[in-house]
Amino acid sequence: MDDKQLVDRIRSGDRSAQRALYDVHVDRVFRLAYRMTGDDTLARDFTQDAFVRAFDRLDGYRGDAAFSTWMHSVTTSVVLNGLRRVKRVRSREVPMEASHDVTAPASQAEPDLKRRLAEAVNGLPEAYRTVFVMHDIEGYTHGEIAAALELKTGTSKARLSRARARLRMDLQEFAEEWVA
Amino acid sequence: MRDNDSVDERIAETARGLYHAPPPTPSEEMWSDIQSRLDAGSDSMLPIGRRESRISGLTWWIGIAAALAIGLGVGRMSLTPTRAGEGGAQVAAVPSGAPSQADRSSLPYVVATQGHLDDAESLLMTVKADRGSSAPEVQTGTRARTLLSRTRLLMETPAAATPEMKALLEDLELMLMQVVVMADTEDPQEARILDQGLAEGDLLLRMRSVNWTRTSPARGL
Repeated sequence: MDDKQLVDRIRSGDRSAQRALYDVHVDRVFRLAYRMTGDDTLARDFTQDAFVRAFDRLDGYRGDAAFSTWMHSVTTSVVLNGLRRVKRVRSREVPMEASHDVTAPASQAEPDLKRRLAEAVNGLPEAYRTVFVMHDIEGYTHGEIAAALELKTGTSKARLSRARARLRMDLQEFAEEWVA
Repeated sequence: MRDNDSVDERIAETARGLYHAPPPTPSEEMWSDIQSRLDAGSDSMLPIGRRESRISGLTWWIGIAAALAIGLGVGRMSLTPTRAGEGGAQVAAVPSGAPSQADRSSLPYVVATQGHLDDAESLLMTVKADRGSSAPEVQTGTRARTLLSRTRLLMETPAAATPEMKALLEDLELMLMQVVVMADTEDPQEARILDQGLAEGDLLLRMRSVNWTRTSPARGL
């Protein structure tokens, strides 16, 4: 049974179809939430919020695009707004300089590359980081990203290009080894 | 260029393995919470992040209290002329061209955003003119940081209610962040990225051509 049929069943009051639709999409939603937050509790909360919101507002899904596209649009909205709220709360609790990043800090005990990579990605502006995580890490297409973030495809490509340029610069000490 | 591609590929590959690598999806646990929320029949969102729940709740109450206080204040002000009229018994008809209460309450945001975009345009023009100059404006970083904070504040208000204004403020946030980074690091790579953004983007044009009637938050909501 495809997504459209499941959505129709949910609309006709079949609660078991909610679970079926959840099973189809939960992995990708949770993975994205986790990649964006680096925090298990937040990733779970955001995933749950995204599905509750999606089921509550299913009437708003007109079926013009694939359900997965709409679901990822809901997910990115929940995650980004949620992260901003967390950031605001934490910025009241810690000095401003330390509040730039709301994602989990890399442990000093971790290997250098992992730590440096985490610092470089976390240091990207939110809009660049989101596109980088979605495209280069989680494999979303520019079309999917554009639909989810309500951008033009060209904007998504431009943001990815800038994110990559920043990361190349921040991780240049590893570049020689990689090129070789 | 080929080297860049190769490095980009390795960064992405490394990030897939090392950057916030997700654990197995706790599918069953999450579903039971989702189901109980759906069964409760509420479309309200639980506070995001259990650790933040108390503060989030407090923020909501403060917000609601502030909205009520403002609402009462506006209500009293708008009632005054009617009471002074014919016994206060009639409800005045609103002329079709007159601004509604919602328009009037959104006016402060429109004014603040107009002023903010003017300031930001002035800064970006200075940055553009300074590129390549031997005596660049020394306060650029400080000004950009202030404008960046203001942009973020405006993004959380009804000023960003319309898709056009939301997109404009988001792009402005990115550009200002780039200015801040460049001012802090004076790195040639950052400067190139900024130059590229200023040259390729249509941000300044969009800032100048905002249609304030169409982007009025009250109409856009």
